[in-house]
Amino acid sequence: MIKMKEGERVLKEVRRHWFVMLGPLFSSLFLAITPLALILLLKIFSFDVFQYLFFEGPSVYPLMAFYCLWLLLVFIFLAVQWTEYYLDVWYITNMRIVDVEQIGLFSRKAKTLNLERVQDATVEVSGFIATMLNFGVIHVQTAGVSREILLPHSRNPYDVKRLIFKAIEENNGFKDE
Amino acid sequence: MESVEISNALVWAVTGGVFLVYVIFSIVLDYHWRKYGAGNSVISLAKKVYFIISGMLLFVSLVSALIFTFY
Repeated sequence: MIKMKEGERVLKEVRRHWFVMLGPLFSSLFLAITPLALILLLKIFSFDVFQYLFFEGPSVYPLMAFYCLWLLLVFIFLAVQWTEYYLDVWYITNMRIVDVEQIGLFSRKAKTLNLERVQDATVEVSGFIATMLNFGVIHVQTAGVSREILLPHSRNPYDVKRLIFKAIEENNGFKDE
Repeated sequence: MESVEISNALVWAVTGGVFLVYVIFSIVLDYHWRKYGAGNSVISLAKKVYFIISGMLLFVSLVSALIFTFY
């Protein structure tokens, strides 16, 4: 969460669309079944891998232990990917936009744009899947010093853009009073 | 091709190594979830799912390794 200023409230938290998590999810599923598929494949080609393994006891237990440990590593990989995805977020408040970028587990960048400085916000939705699932890139530019933030694969980008403009209007109205 | 001996020592070395990796990543993930996602219901659900599933996998691995050792 971000440190709020006095009178500030979060209007929306914007994250990337769940579609971007499908890549890590399918990679994890692929990695999870790889050992089993490999053994099966070797068996199909009449290569019995077990004749080269000598077990001190019944083979099922160490194999079970190794496979569960493998699944644990795959699960950790998925948890790291999800955390990176979930902590990469835009906070749109009634005063500013805070872009928090999570890069891996050990790097985090936060950029702030005050609403009164926002000059333009554009949305780019390209491709069949993006159009069907309603996600795209939001660019927000500020006046003066050339600064831009962008959120790729944002959910409901047009709604977010509308919300930004509404927040700007309210912010300006508040300032005029 | 030479045969590989799957001994108790090997099973425990692999289990210990993966357990160490698990502990390190769990500490790092938990730190992120607490620091940046405090009070967020999705994060607390994710935390529960993570520790339940990983705990189950670890439990099955440990039980299998123990049975193999004492069989």
